[in-house]
Amino acid sequence: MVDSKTSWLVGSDGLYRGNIRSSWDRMGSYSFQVTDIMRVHPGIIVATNIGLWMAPPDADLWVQLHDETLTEVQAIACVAGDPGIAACTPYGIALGSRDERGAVRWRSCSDKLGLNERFTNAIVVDPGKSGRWIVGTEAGVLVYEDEGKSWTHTNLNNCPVYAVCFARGLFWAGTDGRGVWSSNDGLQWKIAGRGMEEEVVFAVVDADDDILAGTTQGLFTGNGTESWKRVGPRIQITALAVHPRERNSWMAGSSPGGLWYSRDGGTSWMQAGITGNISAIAAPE
Amino acid sequence: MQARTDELLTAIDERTGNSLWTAYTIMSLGGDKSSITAAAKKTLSKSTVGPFEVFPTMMLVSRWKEELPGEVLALAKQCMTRTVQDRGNTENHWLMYYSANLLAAEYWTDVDTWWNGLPREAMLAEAMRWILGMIERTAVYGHHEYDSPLYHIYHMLPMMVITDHTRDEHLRHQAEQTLNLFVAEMALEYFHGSWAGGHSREGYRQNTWNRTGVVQMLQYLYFGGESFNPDYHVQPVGTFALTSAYRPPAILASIAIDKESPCVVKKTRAPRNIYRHVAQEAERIRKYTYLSESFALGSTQLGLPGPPAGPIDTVSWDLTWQGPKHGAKIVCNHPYRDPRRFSAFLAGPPQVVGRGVASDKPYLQFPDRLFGASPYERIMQYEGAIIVLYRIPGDDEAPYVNLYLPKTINWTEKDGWLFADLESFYVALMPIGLYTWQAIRESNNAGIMVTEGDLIDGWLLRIEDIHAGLVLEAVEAKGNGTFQSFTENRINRKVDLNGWPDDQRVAVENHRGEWLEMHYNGPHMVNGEPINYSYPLFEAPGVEAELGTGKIVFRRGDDVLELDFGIDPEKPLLPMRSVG
Repeated sequence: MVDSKTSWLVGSDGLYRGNIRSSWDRMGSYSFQVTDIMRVHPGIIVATNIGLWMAPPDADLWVQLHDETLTEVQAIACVAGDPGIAACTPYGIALGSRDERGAVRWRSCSDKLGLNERFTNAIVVDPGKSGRWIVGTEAGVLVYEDEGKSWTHTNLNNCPVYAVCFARGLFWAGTDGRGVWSSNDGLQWKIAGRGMEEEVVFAVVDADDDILAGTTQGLFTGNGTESWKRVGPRIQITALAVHPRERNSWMAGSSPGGLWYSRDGGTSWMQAGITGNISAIAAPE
Repeated sequence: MQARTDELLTAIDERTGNSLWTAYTIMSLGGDKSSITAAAKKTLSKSTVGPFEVFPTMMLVSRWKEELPGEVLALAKQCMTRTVQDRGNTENHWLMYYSANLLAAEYWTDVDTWWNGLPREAMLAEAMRWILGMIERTAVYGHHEYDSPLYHIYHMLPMMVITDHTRDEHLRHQAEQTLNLFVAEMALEYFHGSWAGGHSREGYRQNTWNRTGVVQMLQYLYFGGESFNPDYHVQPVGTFALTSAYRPPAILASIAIDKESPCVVKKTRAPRNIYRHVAQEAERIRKYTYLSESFALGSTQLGLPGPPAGPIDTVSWDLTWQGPKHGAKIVCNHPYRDPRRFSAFLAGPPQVVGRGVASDKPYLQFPDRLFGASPYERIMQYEGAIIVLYRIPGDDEAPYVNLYLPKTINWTEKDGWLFADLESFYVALMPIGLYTWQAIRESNNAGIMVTEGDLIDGWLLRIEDIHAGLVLEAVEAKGNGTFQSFTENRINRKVDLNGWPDDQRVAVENHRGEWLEMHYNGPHMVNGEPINYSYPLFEAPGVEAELGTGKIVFRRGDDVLELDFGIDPEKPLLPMRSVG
């Protein structure tokens, strides 16, 4: 039996688990487009185009976490509370709480925002302050503070932001047509590195020596201050992950193009057996 | 109506196929139940099911649970309580999904945990909230998936099944009122077997037909008004309606077939769900439909917030009359192709969504396309006259407008006008911009070669101008002289194009000498008075329906139908999360 903890998890037309050297098995019979994945032991939180689910470790049926107001969940983050999830949707960020029957009811944090500001693509929780979220929207990066239920605009604006992450003490953002940007505080951003200023960036992850950026032209690697270098096939990379211990093992998901992996830090690449559009990858623990 | 019911039941029985939708007929007429079992095994043994499986399942179980073969009932229970379900993404999908789950949760009370891992009561509560919320939103601001000849039945059937079978009295009452409202929607714009005016969605590439959609069965069943024709009226998917306890009040049939002529029907519809790429939300939709004795002209103020918002299925206007399939419609359209029109209402990276949708439905990107909204279209209508204007950017992929004209008419041309004598009425139209006269022929079966134009077969006038437009006027022959006098009158009436395109203004004198002046992004005026587009929910003879109240009254002589959805103005409406 495939162990979800030690397996790669790939979000495509369903949630797949497996390893590079073996085949993939789909968890349950769900064929929803999976957009984000979060391990919460013992299960897995699965964000999809039609709602939010909790996949128990070895059960066929998932548990529904969405309600009638939550659909098209694009990204999720772990926050305080029960179920402890911030769900990013085209209608804004929603927070859930359990009702008397144990079902989750959702309320929006984004009602006061404008149209494109509500459309949320990505989120990262500030590691220095759990109630502070750096949020990638269709209008740029906004910062949310749960304490005052307030939103702050940043200088990375008027441009869709598809990816955000925290690495090497900085926040990183992937934009639509303006490359990768970085910030110390999530509020003041500057363009990172050279040579990607017009790229569309869907995914940004840390690979120790480099930052990896998935774009419409494939993968770019760089440290965010010098020139970026393009490697691998010219696929539209919409998901990325790096193995936590084998740091040269990279998994890239493309839409279209399926799943690809590299075992040598991006020098060479092979297709990995899933051919559908890939929106999310979680590396083994 | 009973005679029409019997007529339809008999005819459908002759055409029964092996699906859960038609299994209903078999049960109703005492047919062979083994085919029901076969259909159930085929449909309900899938690992994932969607609205088009779960809804007919519960439609069948709700009505026939005592008589169904045990195996079918067991398969249905397994499907509804243990099989993964896809909620879909349009309003009709969600209505079918939630109505099916509501009825299943009410029926199978011995099941503690539902297929979605939640308590049965939680599923029931969620379904109740969504259905009641959808009803309230419809009553307050107008139907979202409005006036669709293809999909309206998938709103009516769930409401019917709920009305007949739910155990919740409040829900039953609201569902029944909603049915009356939905029938009224049809009745107000009913025109000799077709649904006149604009549509959120018509059939795919069917908007050049004068009669479309499975709704024709319900129109015939509830209104009568024409002879039985199995090609139009037999729609097996609607069988439940034939045995449902629901029967609309007679006043609605009267509204449909006994209209004062001419009349104007105005409707407010819910705004489109555009959630990115634009600066502001879409406004409410306003429909204006002029129903005359021989023709119907309808148009829509779509309230779109600018490019790239262009709902892909919308039919914004047309002129229709009684005639052959491809021979009784006039429509024009800018075949807007920006792929962000898909991602304006669908999530995911725009770079992925555009190609994905176009791959599933390639006709959405055809250059000859005749449906689908354009952010560059503006329309003004006053009774039987309409002005349609476009300001298309020079770098648009489709810097032109398509105008469909029937081939079955002998057109005459004089002084830039095209005229048609339809005997009972006359049409004059003036394309604005240079055009080329082409033919269009599209077929369902186009794998190798298009041999017949079963989908579209007519003339396509390609107006090759980024500032294209159209002026059209239709008038009844009765009381308006001969065709010859009509054409002379029309030619002699003023058309002022001096302000187009630079001043963004076109003005036209109609056949009675009334002055219509249209500013592309400004006021629409009749005889100097601006048109007020702040419509109520409905405005039509005998109808009172103030927007936002949930109260609608229909009056015909001594007959009155009053709907009151009990709207609490302080309570927020259910947010719209489905498309379409």
